[in-house]
Amino acid sequence: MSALLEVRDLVVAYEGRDGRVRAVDGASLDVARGETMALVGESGSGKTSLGRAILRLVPAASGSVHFDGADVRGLAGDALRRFRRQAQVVFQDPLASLDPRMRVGDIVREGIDIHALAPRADANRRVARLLEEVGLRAEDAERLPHEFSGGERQRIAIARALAVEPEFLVLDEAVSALDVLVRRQVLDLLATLQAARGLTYLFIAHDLAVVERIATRVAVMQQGRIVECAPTAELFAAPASGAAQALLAAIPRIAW
Amino acid sequence: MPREIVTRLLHAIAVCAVVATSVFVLIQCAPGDPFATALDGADVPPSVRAEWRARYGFDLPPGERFVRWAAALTRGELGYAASRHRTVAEVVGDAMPRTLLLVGVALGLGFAAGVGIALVQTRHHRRWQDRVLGALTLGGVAVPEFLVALLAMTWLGARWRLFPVAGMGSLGDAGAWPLWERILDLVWHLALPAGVLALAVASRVARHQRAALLAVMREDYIRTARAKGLGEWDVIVRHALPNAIGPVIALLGLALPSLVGGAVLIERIFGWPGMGLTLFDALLARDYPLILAAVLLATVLAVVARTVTDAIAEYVAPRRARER
Repeated sequence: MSALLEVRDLVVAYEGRDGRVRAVDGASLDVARGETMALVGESGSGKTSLGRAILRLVPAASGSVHFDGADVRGLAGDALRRFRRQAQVVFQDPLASLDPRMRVGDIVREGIDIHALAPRADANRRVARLLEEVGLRAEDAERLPHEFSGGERQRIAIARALAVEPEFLVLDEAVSALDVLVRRQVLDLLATLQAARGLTYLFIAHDLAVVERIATRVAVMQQGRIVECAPTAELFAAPASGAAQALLAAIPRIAW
Repeated sequence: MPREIVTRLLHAIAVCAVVATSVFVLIQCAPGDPFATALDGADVPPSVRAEWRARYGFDLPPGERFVRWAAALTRGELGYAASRHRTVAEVVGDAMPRTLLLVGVALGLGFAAGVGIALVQTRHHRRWQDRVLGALTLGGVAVPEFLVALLAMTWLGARWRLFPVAGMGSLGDAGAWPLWERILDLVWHLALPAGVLALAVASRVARHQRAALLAVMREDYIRTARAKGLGEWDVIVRHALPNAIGPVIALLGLALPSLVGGAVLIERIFGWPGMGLTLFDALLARDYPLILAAVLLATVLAVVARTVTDAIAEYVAPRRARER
């Protein structure tokens, strides 16, 4: 099995008020092409920092990240730009992650322009197609992000990420801010897109119930380390680590 | 929207009325009058003094004089500037464009330079470029304009003779020069006064713009822009700046009155014959109508500038304007 993403002993440290805080403390992880790897853990376990360090949105202190054979930490110039096209991200709060001043069409089109993926006239058509692919209307390109509902905004964020035709998507708590019905719709959309485009997901979540539906494998994070990584069904049936057991116990179940 | 315009207009009129009344009262409290230096010597008989004062209406009680002046104002008359032997409208008509030129150039240069400095500081946040520029802008805010003006005058003007130290045009046959040479001459004379004012503006704008940019740089959509593959300069200029410039523009509107106040000093120091110098001379000469007109016009300017900058700030930040 050739892994699309290989993370080895990654360390991400921040300068805190009381010295260096190791948000990610030697995490290792493999993600295979086409799978959905869920990354779960309690708040502060380092999930988001790991996701961002993989994408090089925050610098790593040590360790290595290889994407499609290339050393991500060593990328620069054109190679880094190419990586930015291949690996994209959807954040938790779409209102915060979309520039409030830009029209939706421009937000989605900017990536296409940066990477010169289509001539000007074609770009607008591609934007319209992308918006329709995520369940919005082509006319929505003229509106501003705040005019949409939470679920619609997350669809815009997904369209924006897909605009550069990436292979790999980090979904950083992408559905955590949505209510259950909308969450289900967006999860279905993500599954459809994955099947149609052969995408690989790193799905960061704090809630195992969401993960159960979508993930191929689950990695559990605790205090900056990956403490367990197993196929979803196995992990749900027999969680090995204390962290996984605690997270499973936290899923609300109705007692009959 | 039309309602808002009417409200703003009423506010502006109220502000002008308060300012005019206060200035009139303050000036009445100050000792002397337009004839004090010319007539109040020991060798002028009291009857002569009284006659000259009566001729210009200074025998009337202050309240009545104010009512007369206000009534004339509603007819569009600003009165006669006795110290200049011309009508106030003529004096102001000459001086106002010169001040607008000085302040306009200083504002434009200062704003552009300030935003530029802030962009560089944001790009190199916490590195030496940021620290050096930060120290310079702090100095620009802390050192008073008149000191900078005197230093510039001494070194750039007197010692190195790079720029003229006073006036707004060369003497002699300068009036007969071709147009472009006269424009060049004007720019040359404008350099020091406008430069000193622009320095003060740039320092303030840079400090506020840097803070606003750094606040925006923490937003998720900046992270999104980086993830798209935009270069750091593009991230700052295309995503951070448009979201951070609104408050700075609004601040500029609020700072304009102090800029006009600063212009009074600068015009006095560099002998720039604009509204500031006119006001200064009028104060010394106790030229009441001219003082009132100058202060009133500065007030109107400040109110107008504030309204305009508010409108611009709303335009560049459509979210604020359209939500609710």
